Amino acid sequence: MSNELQRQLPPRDTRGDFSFPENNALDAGYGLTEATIDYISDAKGEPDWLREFRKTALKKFREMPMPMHWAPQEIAGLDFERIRYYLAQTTAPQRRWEDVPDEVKRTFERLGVPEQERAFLAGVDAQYDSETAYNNMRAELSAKGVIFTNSTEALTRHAAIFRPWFGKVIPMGDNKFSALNHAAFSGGSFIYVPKGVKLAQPLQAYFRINSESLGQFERTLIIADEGAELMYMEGCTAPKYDTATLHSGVVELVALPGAKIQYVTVQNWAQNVYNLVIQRGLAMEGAQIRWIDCNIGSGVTMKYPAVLLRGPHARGEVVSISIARDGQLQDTGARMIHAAPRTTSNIIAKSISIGKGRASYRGEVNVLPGMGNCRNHTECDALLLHSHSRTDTYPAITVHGDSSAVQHEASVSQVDEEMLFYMQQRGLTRAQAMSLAVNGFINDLVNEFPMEYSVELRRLIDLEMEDSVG
Amino acid sequence: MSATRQHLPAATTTPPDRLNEDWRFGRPQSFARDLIARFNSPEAADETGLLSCDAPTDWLCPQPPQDTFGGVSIGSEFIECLALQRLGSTLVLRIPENTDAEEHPIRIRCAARTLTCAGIHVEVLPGAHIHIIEEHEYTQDSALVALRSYTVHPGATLRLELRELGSGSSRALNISRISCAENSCVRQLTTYNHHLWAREETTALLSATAADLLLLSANRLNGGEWLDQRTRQLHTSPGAKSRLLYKNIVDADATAIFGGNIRVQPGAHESDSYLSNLNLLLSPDATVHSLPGLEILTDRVRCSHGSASAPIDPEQLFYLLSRGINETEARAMLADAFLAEVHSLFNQA
Amino acid sequence: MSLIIRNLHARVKDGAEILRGVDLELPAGEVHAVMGPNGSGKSTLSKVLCGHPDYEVTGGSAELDGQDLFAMSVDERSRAGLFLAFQYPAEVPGVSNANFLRAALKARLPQGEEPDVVAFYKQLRARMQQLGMDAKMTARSVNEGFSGGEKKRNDVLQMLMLEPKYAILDETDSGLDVDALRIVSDGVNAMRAPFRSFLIITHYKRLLDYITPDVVHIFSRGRIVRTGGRDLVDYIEEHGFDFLKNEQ
Repeated sequence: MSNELQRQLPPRDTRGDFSFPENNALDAGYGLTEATIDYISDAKGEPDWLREFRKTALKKFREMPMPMHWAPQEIAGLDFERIRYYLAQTTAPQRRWEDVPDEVKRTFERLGVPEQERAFLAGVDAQYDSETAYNNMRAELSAKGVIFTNSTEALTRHAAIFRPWFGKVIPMGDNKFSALNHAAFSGGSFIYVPKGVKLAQPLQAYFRINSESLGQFERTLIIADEGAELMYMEGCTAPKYDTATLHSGVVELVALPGAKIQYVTVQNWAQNVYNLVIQRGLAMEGAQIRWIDCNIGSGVTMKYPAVLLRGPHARGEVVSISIARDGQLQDTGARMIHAAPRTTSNIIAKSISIGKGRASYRGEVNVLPGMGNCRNHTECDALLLHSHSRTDTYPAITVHGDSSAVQHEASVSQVDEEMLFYMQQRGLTRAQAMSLAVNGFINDLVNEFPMEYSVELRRLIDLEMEDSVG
Repeated sequence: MSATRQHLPAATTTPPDRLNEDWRFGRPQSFARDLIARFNSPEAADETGLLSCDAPTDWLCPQPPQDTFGGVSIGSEFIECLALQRLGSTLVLRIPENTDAEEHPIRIRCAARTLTCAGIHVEVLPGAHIHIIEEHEYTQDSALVALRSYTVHPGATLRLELRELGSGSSRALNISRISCAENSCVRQLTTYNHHLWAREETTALLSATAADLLLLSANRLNGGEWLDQRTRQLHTSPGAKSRLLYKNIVDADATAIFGGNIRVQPGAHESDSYLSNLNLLLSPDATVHSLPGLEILTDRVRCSHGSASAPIDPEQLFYLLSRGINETEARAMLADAFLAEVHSLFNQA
Repeated sequence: MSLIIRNLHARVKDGAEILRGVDLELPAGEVHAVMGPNGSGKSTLSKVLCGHPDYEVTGGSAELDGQDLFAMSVDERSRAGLFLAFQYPAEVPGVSNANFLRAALKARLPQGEEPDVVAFYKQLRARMQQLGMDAKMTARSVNEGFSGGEKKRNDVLQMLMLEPKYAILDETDSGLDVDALRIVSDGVNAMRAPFRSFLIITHYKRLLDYITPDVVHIFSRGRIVRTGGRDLVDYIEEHGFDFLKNEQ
């Protein structure tokens, strides 16, 4: 990052371990029942079809078992009855920070969101518990026909664009957590970029949990029309509570022919958060979807960004960094479904396990029958810092035909003691040396992040390393 | 890792739920059910005397060695329990200490009928060096469940070739356990030919330092064949080495499945482990499923895995063509070369 | 008897046109050099002549001793006497050098006939010795793990063994030290014969100090822009390829 930018952006609170007293006018209480759904639908003033839609999803959610036959056993500890499914102060987002309720505004200021917006963003969507508190985009983008709003407004004001794709990339019955999100969704972003429009600056969403035991179920749909390009960034924090918090978003991307979407996540949830997110993109002919995924926080994360390559020459990429410390399970990975010929995909995943932390890579690459000349390359590297650290790699690769090539490589390594000794001999503390070594390990991936984020990411990693190793 | 040999379930035709996960990918599950059904069919009478071995008679033993695995399995413990109850014949071979017989391979032959369940136990005592060639032969529509265990004691060397000679309509299930003691050296090469379907479950236990294991497989799959191989390299002690290289040439509408796992238990520092599954795709109807897994529960290890499935490299093909070799010949040369690495690794060392 | 190329156009499959009308006649017994700046299409010419699948011919023709070159498959062209010493020879793991050469020689014999093993190894050893190659190389896989120089030498070994009528040497000098360059050149010079021709593609003069060309072609932007004698090499050595800019 340039010095210029550094001056513009004072160090901000990247952990977000603070909270304000609850001040929720809207509270659906604990547990998820039909009454909860009625409460949410009433609060949002939703049409009957949507109310019924949510109830159908609830039924599916109840019928579907937890995926215990393959999922990490830790998710068995999640008690859906001890979660609050809807908490909000108001349902309507503000367009100006001065109109946002004081403690909400102070929260986002402390997290540095308004400064970032001024410095380099095209628009911001700030979600506080269940609802969007602030949503705004630069005026010139509205003039070009770009839509940037939340899921509630999308349903009412942009239904003609929103509804045809809503739930199409990730259907309601896809899995238990997509059913849950379809039942309880609130907030999240809806973006539409018209044909040929290329956004020079990123759009950003910030998901903030303030209240204890909250379940946050944001719902994001991004549509890039033919030849359109955009980058979207998502940040997440929450204060640490003794009880479990659940974050279970659904993110659907649609890249129409020739479009490019980059979706960046920097997740630093508190350790009591179950972060079970479904992210999937549909890439049509010649389109590109790139997930850049960084998981630092949460107690349990299960997240496998996917690209369904639906048109010839479509390209999918996942760049993934995860850090698992004591008490954390980062079960991350990627899925690439080659459903058209001449599609390519690339996955690069690096994980760091610290103390008793456990980082797992779970991946699927599937070249469907009849799809020729597809290419995939996957590389997974794991760094283990301590004797009780754990890493797993579970790729599943399927290839049909005789013209596609799929390659997977994985390795496990540790920090070289000689290198640490060298650095310590030159005056660095062991934690500093370790931090440098870890930064070196993921350096090439951090550089994939937008510049504004990469410096911050390094700072964040330093902070985490000092706490865990120092 | 649940059922043990000590707790046998009653014979039944209902496979356990785990079949779904451990026998993933459609058809294999129906093969498993088909096999289980044979256990209850009247044609599958007990068969004895189908195992033979040309080892000196004083190497043969009545008692199998102690099971050091405690029932570790990769999905077929249920079938294994059924097989144990109707074990037709069992061969127990104990190679005396310091035997040096690497130059003169021992041959074990096993002939499969409608449903043959065979137990093969080999114990290589300290300091012995032995080369075993095991051949499984099949009649039309026959099936074999082979329960194989190899216990290799400190300082011993075992070179083991398993040649599966199918009949085109045969089915094979090899459940193998290889236990490697301190300073032991084990090389296994499996080749599967002409089976309707074959499944291999190989578990290798590296429970002592400086154990050195090499698992190899080289196969050519043709019309309609299914080969389903599952392996586990289990490191429970520090300082052991295990390598695995499984290569398949997949032609016509054949399917190759590989599920491998390296597990390094807490404290097994300095484990050196590698697994690689490589597939050469020769037909538009070929299918490959590859699941190479790692579970590393400690640091200071060297572990990696790789999987690659690809057609013949066009640059290599062009190079051969440009030297005047015709395409059929060039493809055959490249296919042979693909498997040659496996054979040369087995013949080295 | 000659290799005749007329108005040859070719492009990368589904990509840009690289050869834009090449005319060249290589009569039996002659050595021609093709020089030109990087990226001018010299290497593409060699690959197109051999039938590399990445390229497609979009116009023009090529005749090898009266036969339509582009009607032949890659291996047929080779058996018809065309040889390419690659700029970047492919590695073929698992196929030993000896087996590979035997297969290539066998392909030149009538169906069912095998090359005489004793004579083959005798000749192979002699040729390897001539090129200063270690006898152990016969058992190693073709080009696998070879250094750049070893690969080039191995390609020249194949040329000596297969005795082509038309040999194209594509940047054979790159990656060779002076000693290796002399050995390789001696090998080529020893092969010069009234029934054999060479097309030497090179960026530098170096190789042409050892192998004297009869004709020199200057290649630029996919075409031959000038043809002359040995003196053209010296002109380029002195002036570089910059003069091309003014000409086009």
